[in-house]
Amino acid sequence: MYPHERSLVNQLSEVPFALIGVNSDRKLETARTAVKEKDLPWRSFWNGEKGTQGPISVKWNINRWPTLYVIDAKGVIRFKDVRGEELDDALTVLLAEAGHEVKITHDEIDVEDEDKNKDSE
Amino acid sequence: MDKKEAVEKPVAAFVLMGAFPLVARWGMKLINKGKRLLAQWFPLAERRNSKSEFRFTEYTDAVPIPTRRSMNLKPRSILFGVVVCLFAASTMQIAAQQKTEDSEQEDRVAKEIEQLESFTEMRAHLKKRMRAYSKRYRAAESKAERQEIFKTIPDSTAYNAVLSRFLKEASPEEAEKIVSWWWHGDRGKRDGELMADILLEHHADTEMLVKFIPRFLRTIPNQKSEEAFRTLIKNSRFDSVKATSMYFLQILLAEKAKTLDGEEAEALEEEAQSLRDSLKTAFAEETDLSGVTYAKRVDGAQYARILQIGKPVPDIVGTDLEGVEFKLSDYKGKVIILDFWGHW
Repeated sequence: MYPHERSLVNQLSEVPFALIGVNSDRKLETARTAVKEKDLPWRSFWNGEKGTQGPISVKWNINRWPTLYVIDAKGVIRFKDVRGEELDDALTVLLAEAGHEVKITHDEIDVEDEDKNKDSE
Repeated sequence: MDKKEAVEKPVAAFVLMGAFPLVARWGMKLINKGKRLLAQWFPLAERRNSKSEFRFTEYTDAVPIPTRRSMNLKPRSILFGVVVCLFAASTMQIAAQQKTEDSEQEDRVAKEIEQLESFTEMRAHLKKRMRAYSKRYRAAESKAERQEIFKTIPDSTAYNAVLSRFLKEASPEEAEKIVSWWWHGDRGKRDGELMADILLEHHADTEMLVKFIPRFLRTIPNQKSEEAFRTLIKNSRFDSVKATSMYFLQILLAEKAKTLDGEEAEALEEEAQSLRDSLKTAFAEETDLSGVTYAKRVDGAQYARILQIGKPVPDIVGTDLEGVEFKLSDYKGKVIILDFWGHW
């Protein structure tokens, strides 16, 4: 997940796109370390000390992690739990609607990156 | 079959195997001799019988009395035969003994299980057997051997009968321990429905039930869960038990409503809604095991209805990982991926 998301954020820095996280780690420190070590270039809400039972995820009735919502430029929920190429396609469509043609590709660097991550875990 | 018998049978078999050819040979010799004498003494008999195909003389000539010499048997061949017989007999004996030992072992374990007197004893018993098993497993040298040993893994469902007995008679604290153990173990092989039945029959009036009510939905048929929840809501002395049952009943009813149409579905929806309403009013203080109030949970479920594709996203107000407050609506006008993540 991380390399894919990182690649998206980096590629779409020129268009009106944002990845917003809701972090559900019990300890703020865990989340901060993850951001630092895995180089996660996005902003996150913190769900509080109760972790997955924190106020945001309880209110949103989230019971699977990760859960992903895709929201268009008008603030309407358009996709839920799309992954990989599907996610790329969804973003391409929504950005096109907002008047920005993008072509999302994940070059080989990402694949290597992912492998590296797997090894280190 | 006792041990003495187990040893004696194969030995007897061996003796018979050895003795039979001898007896047969001597018997045949005797018969043939008798026939020859008969033929000499009563030539009439031979004549009378000449009409038939059968003649003593022919018979005796055709089947000569076998002797060691005539069969060209060397002493070492006979010795070899004896060794083969011995080997066969001992193999039979070992197999028979092994079989009796196995079934004896099984009987012994079954008897032991029957005689267990408490949950603690029972756990110790199973633990001991598991230890012995894993010791054997680890000691195995080949894959085939391991597979053979794997077949003998102690079957924890064999304890179901005594476990039910303990659970029926247990104090609430003890019952809680038993149920946790029963429900957690053995990849769902144990009979969860049986246990739920016992719980509801013998421990309906305890507060520890709140721990197990959430599992009802997954373990026992929906219809039965529904009845159980209704009974608990009606009869339990504990608000926590009532609230937990109400929460899960409303989930169950809402799900059921989806499978029905028209009035039936509406009635169920209505009932679910009234349960949600009481969870937010009369039982507003009750929490689930993770400490979240059911009122909040119900809100979450209702929130899920507005969190649908095609509907405007509700705002989130919170703080980021550095403690800075921000809102989701700060990013309006952008395409957003909202990612509920955690690093675990």
